[in-house]
Amino acid sequence: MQFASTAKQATAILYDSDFGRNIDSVLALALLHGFAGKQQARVSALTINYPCLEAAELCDVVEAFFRKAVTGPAAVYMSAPAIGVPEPHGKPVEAPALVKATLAKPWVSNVTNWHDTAAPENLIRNDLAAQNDGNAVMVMTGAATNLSRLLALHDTAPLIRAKVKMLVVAGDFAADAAEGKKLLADWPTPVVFCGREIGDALLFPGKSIEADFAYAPQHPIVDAYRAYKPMPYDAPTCALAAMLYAIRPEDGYFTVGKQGALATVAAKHDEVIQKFTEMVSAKPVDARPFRKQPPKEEPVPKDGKSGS
Amino acid sequence: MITRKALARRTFLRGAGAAVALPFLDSMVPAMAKAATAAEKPVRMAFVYVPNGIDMRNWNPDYEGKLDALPRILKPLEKFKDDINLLGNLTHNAGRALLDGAGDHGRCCASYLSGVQPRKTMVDIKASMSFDQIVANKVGAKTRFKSLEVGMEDSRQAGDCDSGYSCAYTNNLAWRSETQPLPPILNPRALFDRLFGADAALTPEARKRRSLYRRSILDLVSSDAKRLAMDLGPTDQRKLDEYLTSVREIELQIERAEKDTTRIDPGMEKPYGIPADFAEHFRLMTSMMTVAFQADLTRVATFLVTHEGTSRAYREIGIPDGHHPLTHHRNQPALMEKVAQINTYHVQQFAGWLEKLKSTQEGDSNLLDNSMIVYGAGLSDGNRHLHEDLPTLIAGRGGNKFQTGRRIVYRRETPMCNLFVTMMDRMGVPVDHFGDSNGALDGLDLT
Repeated sequence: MQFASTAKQATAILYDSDFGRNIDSVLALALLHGFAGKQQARVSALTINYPCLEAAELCDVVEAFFRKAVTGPAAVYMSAPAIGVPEPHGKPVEAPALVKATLAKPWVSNVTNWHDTAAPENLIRNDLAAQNDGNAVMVMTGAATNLSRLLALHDTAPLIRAKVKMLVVAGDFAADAAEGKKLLADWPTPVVFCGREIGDALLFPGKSIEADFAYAPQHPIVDAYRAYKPMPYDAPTCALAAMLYAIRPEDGYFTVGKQGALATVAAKHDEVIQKFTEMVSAKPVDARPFRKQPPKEEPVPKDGKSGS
Repeated sequence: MITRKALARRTFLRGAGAAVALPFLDSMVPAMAKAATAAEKPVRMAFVYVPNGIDMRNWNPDYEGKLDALPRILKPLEKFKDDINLLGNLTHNAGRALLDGAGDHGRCCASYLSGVQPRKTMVDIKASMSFDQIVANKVGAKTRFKSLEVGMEDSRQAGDCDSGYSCAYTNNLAWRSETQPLPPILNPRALFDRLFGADAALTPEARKRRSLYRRSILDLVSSDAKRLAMDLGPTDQRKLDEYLTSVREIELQIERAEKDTTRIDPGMEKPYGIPADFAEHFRLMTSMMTVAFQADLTRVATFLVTHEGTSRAYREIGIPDGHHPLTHHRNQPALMEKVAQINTYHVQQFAGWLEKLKSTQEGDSNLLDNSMIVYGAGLSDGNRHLHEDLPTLIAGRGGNKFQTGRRIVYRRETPMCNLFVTMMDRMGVPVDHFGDSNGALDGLDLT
C-alpha cells in the first residue's frame, strides 16, 4: 500500500496576473520559479486576467523554460500544466507589445488554441482543492475579473477560506475599480496590498539582465525585458514585491500596516534588490524527480566473508 | 379521408396457452396523432464505462468540427460517424489525488458518475448519489425498473482493490446514496430474470399471485425492521433506513409489475451462465439492454464493462497480458500497441450495440436517435493516471435534442459534470448544479 507523504509541502503560489502587459508581471513569475527551484515555494496555478491568447502562449513559454519541459510538437501528450486565461466575449484583446516582440523570437509554445488553455476560475478551484489547508497564497496583479468569477462558482468561498492563507494584491484596481472593490468585500481571507509606490522604490537593475543570465544562450526573461523598453533601464517591481512577500512573509523585507498595506523597510532595501536579481536569474532546476542511486556493491573480501 | 384503424398498443400474439406482447409499431399510432406522438417518445440514457484509461494517441482526432477520418481505436464506429459526438478536454477533478495519495483507479470510477471525491477507505465507504440515479428517481416512476446496472466482471463489494480504496469503488458505477453503491448484474441469466421475470412463462394471473406472495414477505420484513429500529444507534438506523428504502423500492417494482399484466417478448432465448467469450457476453448484455429500452422497461442504464483497475487478459485477441499492467507501459511501443488493441476491441463491441439500437425502429426514428449513450473512461492516459481530457463520446441524438457527427473540444479543466448537467436537462430533470459543474456544455444542441 502507498501512503501520501507527510512532509509539509512548500507554500503553493497561485499567480493571477496581467502577464505581459508590463515587465514587472513577467519578472514576478521568474522570481516565483527561482524560489520554487529552491523548494521554498510551488508554482501551483498560473492565470492571466485579460483575454489574450498570445499572453498565455508567452506564459507557457516561460513556464516551460523554467520547468525545462519539452515544448511544441515533441511535447509529451498533456505534459504542460494548463494556463488559465478568460475567453473573449467579443473581440480578443490585442497582444501587448512586450508579448508580441518576445514571441517573435524562436520560442515554441504548447498553447496554440483557446482549448489549450483553461477557464481561470476552473483552474484555480481545481488547484485549490489539491492544497493542504492554509498552505496556499494567491498573488494578484491587474484586474479582479478571474477572482470574482472564482467566487461566483458554487460553494467556492469555503474552499478559499480553508486553503488560502492570504491574498496579496499588487498595484491597484484601476482597470476595474468597481469589480475590485466587490472582490475585496467578498474575499474570505486576509488581504495584503502592495502599492505601486513600493515597486517604484525597489527598481530591478537592468544591468542584471546583461550580467546574470549568461547560462542560457536564449532566455525568455531576457527577451521580454529587452522587448519592453529600450535598454538600459531599471524596472519597477510592484508585482515582484508582492510575490516576495507572498513567499517569504516572515523574512521582514516589508512591514504590514493595519489596513494590510505593505511598506518597505529602509534597512532591507539592498537585500531585497539582491534577492530579486538572485531569484529572477536563478538557473532552472531539472524538473525530473529525484531518484536514489542504487547502492554501490560492497567489495567482497577474498575469503568470501562479508565485512560485518 | 383516413379510414385505417389503429392497432391497440397492448396487442398480443395469441396461441395455445401463450400470449406475447408486441413492441411499439407504427400501426399503433393513429395517423393524425403521429406528429404528436413523435415528440413523446421517451429518451434513454446509458453509460458504457471501460477501465484503465485509453491510448489517447489513437483516440483523439487532430481536428475539430465535423467528424471525418476516425483514429484507429474509433475506426469500428466509422458507419456511426453521423450518430456520435466526440467530446474533448472534459475533466474530473474529483478523480485526482487531492491530498489522498495513490488510488486513481478507485477514485476515478467512484467519482465518474457521482461527481465527488470518494472517501479513501475500505470500510465506511462514502461517495454521493450518482447523477444517473437522480435521473432514475425522476423518470423511473414511469418504467418498471428505475435503472439497470450491468457489468461483466467481478463485483466484489469489500476488500482493498486500489491502494486503500474499497472494491466498492472500483466495481460500481451507480450510487443510490452516498453510502450505497448499486452493484452491477454480471450474469446474463440473472439479467434476463430481472428484466423479464423468472416467471416469464407464467400467465398474467399466476404472475400476479406470485407478486402478492412476495409482497406479503416484504411486509413481514419491513415490520420486523421497524421494530428493530427502536433499539438501534444512529449509524445502524441509517443503514436500516437504507435497507427499508430498498425494500420499498422492491414493493413499488412489484406494484408496477402487477399493473403491467402483459409480458414482454425478449426476442431471445433465456441465456444460461456467464459466457466465456467476452464478445458474446457483451452482446448478450447489450441485447437485453436494447430490449429493456425498446419495451420501456427502463430509461437509465449503466454498464461497467470490466471493473476499474482490472487485470483481465484478452486471450481472445491474442493478448495474454493483464490489461492494467499493460497500461503502465512507460511508453514502450510493444505494450502500447497491445493497449490500443484492447481499446479497439472494446469499441468494436460497442459498435455492435449501436448497430442494434440503430436498427431498432421506433415510430419514424430509431432507438439510437432517442437515446444518449455515453462511452468513456475515468482516466485518459492510464500510464500516468491522468484525469483530464477524459475519453468521452456520446452516441444518439437524445430524442432529436442535439446535432451529432462532430468533434467538440472544450477548454482544459472543463468539468465532466457539465456534461451530466446537460444530459439531465435533456432527460427532463433540470438541475442548477451537480458535482463541480459550472454550467451546461456548449455545442450539445441542435444548432
